[in-house]
Amino acid sequence: MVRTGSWFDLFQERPVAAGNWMFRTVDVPGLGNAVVVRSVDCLGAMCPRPQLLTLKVLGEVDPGEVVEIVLDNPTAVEGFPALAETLGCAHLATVRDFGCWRIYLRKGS
Amino acid sequence: MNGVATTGMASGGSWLSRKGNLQALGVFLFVVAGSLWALAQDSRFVYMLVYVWFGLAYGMLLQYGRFCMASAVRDLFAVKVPRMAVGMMIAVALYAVVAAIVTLSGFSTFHPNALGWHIVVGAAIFGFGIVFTGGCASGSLYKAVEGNMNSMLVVLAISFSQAIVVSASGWWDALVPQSWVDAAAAQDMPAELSVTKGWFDIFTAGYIWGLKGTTTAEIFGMAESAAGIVWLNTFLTAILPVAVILVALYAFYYRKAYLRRSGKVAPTLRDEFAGIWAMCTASKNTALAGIGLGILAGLHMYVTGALREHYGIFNFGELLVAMGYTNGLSIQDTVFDPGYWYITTQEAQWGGWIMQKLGIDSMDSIFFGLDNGLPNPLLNAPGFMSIGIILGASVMALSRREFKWKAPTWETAFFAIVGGTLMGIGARLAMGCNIGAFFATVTNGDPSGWIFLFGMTLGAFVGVKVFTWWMDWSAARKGGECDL
Repeated sequence: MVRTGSWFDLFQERPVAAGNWMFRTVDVPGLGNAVVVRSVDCLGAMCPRPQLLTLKVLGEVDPGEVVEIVLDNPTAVEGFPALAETLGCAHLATVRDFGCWRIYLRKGS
Repeated sequence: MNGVATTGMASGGSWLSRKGNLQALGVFLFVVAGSLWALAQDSRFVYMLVYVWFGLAYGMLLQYGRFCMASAVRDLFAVKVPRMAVGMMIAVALYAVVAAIVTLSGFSTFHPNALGWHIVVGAAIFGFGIVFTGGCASGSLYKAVEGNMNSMLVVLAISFSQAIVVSASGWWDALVPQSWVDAAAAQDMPAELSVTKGWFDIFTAGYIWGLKGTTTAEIFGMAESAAGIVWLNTFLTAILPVAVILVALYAFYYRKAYLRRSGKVAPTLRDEFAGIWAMCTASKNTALAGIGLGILAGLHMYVTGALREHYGIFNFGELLVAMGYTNGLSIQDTVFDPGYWYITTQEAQWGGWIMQKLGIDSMDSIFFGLDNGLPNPLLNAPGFMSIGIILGASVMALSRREFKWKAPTWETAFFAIVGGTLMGIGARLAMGCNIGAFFATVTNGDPSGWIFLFGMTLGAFVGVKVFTWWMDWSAARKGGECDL
């Protein structure tokens, strides 16, 4: 998932899509291991697409499940804690990775 | 848990050992060196450098707070998040307070906008556009510096669409009411401007010039008194509406979730105030940027006003003439020089200047020929504020390692160009964007800015509906491909 990519990759058309089902254990800083059930790939996306995709994916998972959102749009990253509050989700962490951020949200009941 | 953790990133070492910091310092030193060079040419370039340095500070704060005024209205409908709307209101309140001090000291450079239906229509088109571009005119500038090529396209689209709208003439000229044409013809204008030719010229001379722009204090005949400036312009036109909007944002978007989180079943008034405070401080970066932008935007007027006083001028054009630069001035020897934060007009000038170099002359338009001129971008003072924003945002983005090339897809490029074009058209019809027609107006006692905000909100509401529909439709079309 980490994009080390060449310059050429940057210009390739890359449709933004909400992730398929997955069950991956990740080490969320300050929380420990959590099982991520969906990963929303928003690399290259402009607002409000990341927010709307997240809304949809959260609508499809069960309460208590953890969703990962992968973003490279700083403005969108800034807004996610506030978005989580509105949606009644727990914002577990925002992790800085190479060329992107990974945001972990746990769906509330 | 709002902290950002870092994995796999290089850490440690001195501040300068990081490549991003070094690059940021390089950009900063470039601005310092450029400023010194300009001053060495002629000390009067200090007037232009004020725009550069305020722009630099705006750019840094915009990037620091991820200050996105497009999301201020969009997110209320798209995801029901009031974060940026709150940030924008904080900035308005601070700007208004500083603007009052500047006005009282006699250095205000503010001019009210003409009040009319054009504001609602233009603002709605602008508000619709920003949903598709992912940022306003200022926001697109700083996002472009983060490497976002969509935002670069937006800036280009805003620049050229405005330049074309204000100068093009064709079959659409026939779309204006005859009364506008008559009113335009009755204006005593030089023949070279051909005010009855070109839709925007007829619109300006036949409609806008017939309207009145005013401040609240002026309406009550108290424009010259301190009480009028403080109570009518600042309190009644800015602070009170901001307070009402903050309470409304809290009640509709924040209160329920806040009370649930804090476990308050029967909230007291004190709890409600604590809730409003929590809403305002929820995103510290945004709140701090709002405070900084508000104060600086006011100070900007003060410094420019003081310089005008010092040089005995009303407009930068006079200083350009004195320095021997007469190319690109309007027929009144003026150039665009608002004296405060403004964005769209100088972008229109960039577009118009490039078009002129390509052989498409637009100096027969009122917008360029009579009012704003088409100066060389190297002598365009507010243009340098935009360049300052670009440089300031790049200092911040580089030092925070947030620069990354983000290529558009065909879809996002289409949205950027169409959305940017709509923003350009909307900004010209409304006589400004969310900065020039809203932020700078309501803070200086001109209530027309609230009409702009209303129109922009209306446009964003429709824009969000269309955008959501498009996402659903394209997801359904792709079927199982993205499992949505």
